[in-house]
Amino acid sequence: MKKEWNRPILEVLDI
Amino acid sequence: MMKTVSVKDVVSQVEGNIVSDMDGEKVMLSIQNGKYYNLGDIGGEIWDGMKEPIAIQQLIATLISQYDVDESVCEEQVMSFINLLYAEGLITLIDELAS
Repeated sequence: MKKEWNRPILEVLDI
Repeated sequence: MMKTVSVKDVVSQVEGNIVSDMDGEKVMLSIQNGKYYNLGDIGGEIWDGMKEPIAIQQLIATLISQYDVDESVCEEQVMSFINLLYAEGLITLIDELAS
């Protein structure tokens, strides 16, 4: 059973 | 002008990042630029796959075998993600295979 795919993200966190 | 990463390239993580798993998502602090990043779950898996130098084609093949995704969709989205990592200085190109 293959896993569900989601678009990979690169979120820059503003800390 | 910065090069665009292609599927033929071999990439590897740049050292000097502090990485933590938070509720299945990977969060990272870059010591080099002081920025915090959220790579999400699949982004985190891709990141883990680049601990050692790896050909992007091989990385994509591994993802296709594990996830329910078309090859063309996977390649387009992974390349977009990897180019973002490269632009942020988080990965380095090891080599470019002869075409």
